[in-house]
Amino acid sequence: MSELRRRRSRDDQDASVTAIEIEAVQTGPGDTGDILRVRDLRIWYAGTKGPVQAVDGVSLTFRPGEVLGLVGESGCGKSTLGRGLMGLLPRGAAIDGELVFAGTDLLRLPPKQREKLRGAGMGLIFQEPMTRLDPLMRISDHFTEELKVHEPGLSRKEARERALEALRALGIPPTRYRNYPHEFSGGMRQRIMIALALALRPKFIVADEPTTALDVLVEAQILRILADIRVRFSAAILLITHNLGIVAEACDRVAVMYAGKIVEQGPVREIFAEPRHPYTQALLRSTISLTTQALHSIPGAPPDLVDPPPACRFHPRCPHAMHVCATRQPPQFGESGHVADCWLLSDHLTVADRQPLRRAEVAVADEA
Amino acid sequence: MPTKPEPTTVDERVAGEPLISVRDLRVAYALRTNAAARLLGGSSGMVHAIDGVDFDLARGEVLGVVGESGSGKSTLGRALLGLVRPSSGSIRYRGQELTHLSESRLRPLRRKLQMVFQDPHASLNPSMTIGRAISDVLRIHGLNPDDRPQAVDAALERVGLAPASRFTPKYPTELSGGQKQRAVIARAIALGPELLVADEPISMLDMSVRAKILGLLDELRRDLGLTFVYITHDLASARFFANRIAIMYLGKIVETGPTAEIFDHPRHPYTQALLRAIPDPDPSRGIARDLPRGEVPDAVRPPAGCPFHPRCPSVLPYCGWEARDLGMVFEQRWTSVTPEEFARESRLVGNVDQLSAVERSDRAAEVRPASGSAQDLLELLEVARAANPDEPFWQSVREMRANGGAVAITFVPRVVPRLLPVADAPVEVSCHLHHPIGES
Amino acid sequence: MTTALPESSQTEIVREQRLTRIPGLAALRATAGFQRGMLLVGALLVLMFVVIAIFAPWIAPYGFNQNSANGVDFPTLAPPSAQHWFGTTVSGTDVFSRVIWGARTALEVIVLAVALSIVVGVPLGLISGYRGGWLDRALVLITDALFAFPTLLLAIVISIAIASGQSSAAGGIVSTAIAITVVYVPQYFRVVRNATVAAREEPYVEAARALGAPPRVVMVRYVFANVVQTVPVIATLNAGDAILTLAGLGFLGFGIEPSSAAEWGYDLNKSLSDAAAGIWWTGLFPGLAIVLIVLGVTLVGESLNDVLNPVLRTTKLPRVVLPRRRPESAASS
Repeated sequence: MSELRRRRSRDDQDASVTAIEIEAVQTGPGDTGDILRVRDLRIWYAGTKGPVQAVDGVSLTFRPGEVLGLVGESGCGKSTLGRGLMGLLPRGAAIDGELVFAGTDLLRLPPKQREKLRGAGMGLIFQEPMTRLDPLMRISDHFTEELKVHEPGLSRKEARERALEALRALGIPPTRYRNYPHEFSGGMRQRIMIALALALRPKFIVADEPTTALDVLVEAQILRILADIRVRFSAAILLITHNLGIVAEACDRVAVMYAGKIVEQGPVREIFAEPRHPYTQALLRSTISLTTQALHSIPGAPPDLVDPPPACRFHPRCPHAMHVCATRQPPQFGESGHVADCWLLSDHLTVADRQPLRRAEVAVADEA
Repeated sequence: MPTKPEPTTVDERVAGEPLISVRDLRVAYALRTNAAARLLGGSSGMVHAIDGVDFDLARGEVLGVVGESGSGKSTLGRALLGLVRPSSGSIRYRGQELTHLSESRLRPLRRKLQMVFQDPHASLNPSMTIGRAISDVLRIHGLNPDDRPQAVDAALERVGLAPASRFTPKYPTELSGGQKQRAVIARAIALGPELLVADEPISMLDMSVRAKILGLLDELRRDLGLTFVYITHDLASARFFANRIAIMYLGKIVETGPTAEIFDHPRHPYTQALLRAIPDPDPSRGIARDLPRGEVPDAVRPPAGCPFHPRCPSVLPYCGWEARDLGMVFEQRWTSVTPEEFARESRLVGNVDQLSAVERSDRAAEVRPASGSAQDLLELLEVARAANPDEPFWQSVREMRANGGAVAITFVPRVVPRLLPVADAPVEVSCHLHHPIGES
Repeated sequence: MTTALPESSQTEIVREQRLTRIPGLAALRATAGFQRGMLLVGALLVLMFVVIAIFAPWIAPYGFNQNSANGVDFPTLAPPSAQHWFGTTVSGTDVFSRVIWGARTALEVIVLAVALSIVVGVPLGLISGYRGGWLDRALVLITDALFAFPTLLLAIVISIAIASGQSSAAGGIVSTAIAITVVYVPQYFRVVRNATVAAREEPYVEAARALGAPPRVVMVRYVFANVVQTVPVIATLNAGDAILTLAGLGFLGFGIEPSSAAEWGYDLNKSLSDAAAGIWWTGLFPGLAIVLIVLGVTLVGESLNDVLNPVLRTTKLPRVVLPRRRPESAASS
């Protein structure tokens, strides 16, 4: 561990570290078999008005066979985070922190090695399956190309076997193996995307809003597939969504993201039963479900990530904001299972700290 | 906070003529020829987007039209406003027939019949400021130029974009999604309409913003006495906002009735499936099992009989089985046989999307093998049946014979279900489970 | 921050946003490096020629057909000298003056041709794209047929048809302009029609119909307003091509009558025989003028295209530097 910290204190990231050196930088005791460990990750990318602090100090842990739901509204940085984990960064982005995948710190890897990991170690499932499949290639060609790049040792026959196995696991009949993408419906294409990701037997899968563009019944089918996958292939899955219903049904743990930071995370049941962060509470209350009797919403709008509010980023919209919330960034509170970054959970605040914050009335014009 | 709107039972509805009255509405449009190649021989390339729809809409009511893609719900909204020409049927607004009005006769009526669109980012003209966009509507309908600025400001402030002067010079790209949708609503109410067709107005917004916009619509309903047709695939918001629900599948209404009744006692298997499948923010509910299999079929040749029959978990032998469904049966079988068996069988059966099946009548069909003899095909069918006797398709097959070069299959005669009232509730369902054969 | 902004900064923001409404101005500011260089060079060239063309009577020392001054004949085929900066031609006219006057001719013809093309091609494209149906199919067929012709050939044919029998100066310029217009109308038609067909499907156009807007209003305010940005690019790129066509016409002896105006293409033709004899000044300067103006116009057109098309625009974004972490911002786990 100390080896890792010393390297990090150097100013410039030394991209020329060779593979041998990387092997040596294994994590020491404390490595619990987590597939992916993210510590204090920051991803800022260039925007026209200044750097966008899309991900600003995020820590997460992914265990095999577990689905972690990342929930947040648009503009909170969850897509950037998902892609950043895969190494797909926007142009001109800067990343730092710790990103340890199966013992290897990905941020210290040279880009070529990183690329090799993508696909084989980590898979990505996108939102719009049609736009991600090459319309001029048959499904079979998609598979053979993918396997040829990542597992060149496979014979054509073996590659076909793998592909058909993945497709069968997803309920796609082998009759359709030689069809083109446009001959499939949206739900089927999403299954193909998942099959493509699975054919390489990745240990970690990022599913970025995989069902947003699909109908309700198909969505349920896909969610069921994802649930089966993690059991069958014991992969860790990051499910990015804005829909709390999906999180409740399909995820084991959930992380709530707001303005580039994770404000609360924990087991799904606990978070839904006892949300601790005011944003989580407000989000749950404002979700329209079959049992909604009254409409609730959060006043104001999500902040601009170029110039976010100081200290706790939710304080301008929080009904319980205190004086300290606007001056100091809250640390994490709670046991290792269920944690939240909120001063309300602190026992060590002074009276002055606890003064309710006098915020200017949110003008109706600033409503989303 | 806006609370659930008061339920409006049938009796409480304003007595008198309904605001909108739709009878046997059909909208079909022709497909381009490149799709014709995918059709089985003999069919025309028409998509029946709306296939015989009836309903009445009373003043002040909110009708929730719920369905997935391909259900025809969006087309229904457009047909009501004359943006799409019906092929047949009638739409009456305050007794006036709309379907054969010319475009220029229809335009003045557009003051009263307005629409809120789904995509807030695309339904505002990018080269017009918000102020211009709204005053243009007023200009088109002849409002005095002196009165326009006031009307624009009033509309903007009504939807929560206040102070109006802050928003009138803005272009759509400078607004957030929720603000854009508010602007779209302002544009729709600027002329004082009676009917608002809202086509998925909140599905492209964030969760916390949806509540705001839905609340706004509800407020406007109360304050301006608006009638709504609320088109959505989101049953949860429909439950909150609508008094009556109509569930659509492939161009037909399969179930309709008061909101509470539909949600508490869903009768049609499709409605039941939709309710089971909605992701509910309740962790104790797991992911739904027992979902209908397959997906919404191609609208060009909908399944025979009840269009939902290939997917229905409670299907009966006379719901509409036909030889075409063999394609689905085989596809399902082939996900679990060995590759050698698959190779052999698919050679025999041929391309499942283009089975050489001819429907002779509502109870008889012939299937030709792609290669090999009819006897081989018959044996294969028997093997498939023996391997999976629970497949509902086989329940409807009375007899299979090899007859010359084809296998002749005799089915239980199929009956097309009709939308009929049920005995114990003000609900109409189109399903044999609730109207067994023998009832008129 | 979600608190309301003070009034003054609101007006600041509104004013800044208004400025950016002028198509491309904001984008222009954001261009960088090569694109910006191209744009500036092109603009400079074009500006130079426009100035020369407008102020021709004051810049050119002699008339374009003048071959004597103060009773003294100019020498024929004289090399560049103090009196004749670019030398003289076989008939004794001053090359320099002819190049200057030629710029004016080129400007007149091209401006007229482009203006006519826009006036004819754009509305046709708009109506055709919006209405569709048999009108659209017929117009597309006709314009595609016109496309199939080699531009120069077509221009020659039209030029003969129009100018047969006319020999006045105005007739020469106007008829040449018309010939060029006919050749280039299909381009404007095509581009505007395709953009209209695409814009027609946009939700905001359907929304306009739903609001009760009659077709004319929809076409002009909703479709055209969003399609118009394609026109300047086509116009500038076309202008370059049109200049070459004009020169081609002149070279082949069609188009402008030599006695009515100076024309670079005609000069080039006349200089062919001179080149064999080692006389370079009669051909080089007119040729150079053509090259430079076409280059300038094309540079402007291409960089306009890049600038107005957000996909191609190279924006100058500073590299992101992550600040050092503050001690209390580290997660405590």
